[in-house]
Amino acid sequence: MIVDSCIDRQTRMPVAKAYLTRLGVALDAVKLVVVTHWHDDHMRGAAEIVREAGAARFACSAALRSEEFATLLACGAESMTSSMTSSSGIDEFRKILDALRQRRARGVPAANAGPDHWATHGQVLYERPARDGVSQARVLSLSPSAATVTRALRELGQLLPQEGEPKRRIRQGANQVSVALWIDAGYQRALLGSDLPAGTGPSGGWSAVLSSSTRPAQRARILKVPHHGSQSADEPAIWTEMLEAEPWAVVTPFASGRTPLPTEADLKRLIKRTPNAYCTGRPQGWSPVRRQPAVERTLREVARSRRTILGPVGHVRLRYSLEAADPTVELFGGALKVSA
Amino acid sequence: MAQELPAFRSRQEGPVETDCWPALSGVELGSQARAPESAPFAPSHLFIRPEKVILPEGVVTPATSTSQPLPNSLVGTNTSDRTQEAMLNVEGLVRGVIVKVPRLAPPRTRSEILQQWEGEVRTVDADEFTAVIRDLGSAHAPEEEVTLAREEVSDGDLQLVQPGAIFYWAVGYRISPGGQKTRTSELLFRRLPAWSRRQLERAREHAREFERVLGIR
Repeated sequence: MIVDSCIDRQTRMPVAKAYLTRLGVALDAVKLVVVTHWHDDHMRGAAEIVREAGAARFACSAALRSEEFATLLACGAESMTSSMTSSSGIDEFRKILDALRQRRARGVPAANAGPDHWATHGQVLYERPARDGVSQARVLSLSPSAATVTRALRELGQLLPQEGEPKRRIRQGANQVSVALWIDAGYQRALLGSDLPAGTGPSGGWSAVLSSSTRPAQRARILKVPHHGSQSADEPAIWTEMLEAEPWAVVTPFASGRTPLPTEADLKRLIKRTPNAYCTGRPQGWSPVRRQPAVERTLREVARSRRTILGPVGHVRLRYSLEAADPTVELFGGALKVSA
Repeated sequence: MAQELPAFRSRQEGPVETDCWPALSGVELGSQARAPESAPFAPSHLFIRPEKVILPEGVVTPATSTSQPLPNSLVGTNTSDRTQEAMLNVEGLVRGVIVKVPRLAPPRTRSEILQQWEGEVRTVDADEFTAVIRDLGSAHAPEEEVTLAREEVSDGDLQLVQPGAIFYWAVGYRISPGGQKTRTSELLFRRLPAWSRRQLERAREHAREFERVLGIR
């Protein structure tokens, strides 16, 4: 399965596609593609994956199943006034729908034409029974909650442009619509936190996951740390109620925005909870490309800060047997172990 | 075919009564020619009918006191710092002749652009804003995020500094007529078109297609 997408800044290829190609695995073998939410940093290259992984079922947040989101997609197409606005997550989502529409045009059964799953809490997105000596596997969505889906409709409506407004880039919605995932495979379990925030009231975010009756009773050994390790997504109870002690935790950096994530404080909090914490890249972003001296001098005088958003691809690979053994950890590119 | 050309009137210097340029007489139909740099400025009579005449700065108005008035399609434009062009669309007369008149205006300051970006504002604070910028000279250069002071923006553009606004940023030199170079940074915000009722209606119609793919309809 492939969850979310980013691209290699040099090859412009989706990183997951490049990785599977290196392993000799065809995209046709992918069973499930999940786009957890429609933010740019989770979607770059996702349409290419959906297009080429023709046999995979496609899942996205149930909060997007609305006329408001469809209108937002159409407005995104109308408001492409520059090359900047054509690279947004909403544009990528529209390309995904084009890929799904082409499936329908090719005669793929209607069940596979649109999203196969509108993911919400407690929904099984994929299940494979044990057979031929291979353990069973199951992928479960833990969010968004029903209340979040309702709230998202109102929020999406507020994002719609109004007559007379400048045609700016469509703003991105809140992270609360994100799809957090639970993966069972043999004796191993993983919790993928997406960008799900912690405190959006008892009916949303991690609070809703923790209070849900459909939440798995087991504990996971592997965690994709939610929302780049930020404080806003930190819910202490998931460490005590959903994770084994000292789990393997992987955090992905986010260099855009006022404060690059994870911050030093985020990393300190993380390593207090587990010694097995890894990061797929430099947390504070990457140095920008050097320009000719006159340009560099001007930039130093004018720009208060400057950093490259996309760095070289970093990769933390956790491999384990389907029995209870600990995973082996391999680091590629700029990935690193988080230490005090 | 000899035709009279009208006199051109200089706003600054009054009527010019120079004779035609000998070098241009006898130009073939449809050909292009340029007056020699040493040619005297602005003839009162030429024995050709030019389609395009490049005039020095300050000269835009054709005099009407000609023996054969020109058609109404004479258009004068300020096309650059160095020259002004008057376009003559004279049906049935000689076409494709360019007469270049030596520049009279003093040389002006010019710019040399070293680097250009297109940017999109992401966040705005009281005295600064962050933006993602894309190198317009290299499609493969990675996007960068910068924080710029609002004081870098011209007063006329300040109200445009909003999340989602698009701007162009050029870094380079301004070069004075004497050759003095000054490094410059110029931000120019786009006046983005506004959503019209028709466009919003079209988007809603388009949305129906997406609803079908999404399985809502």
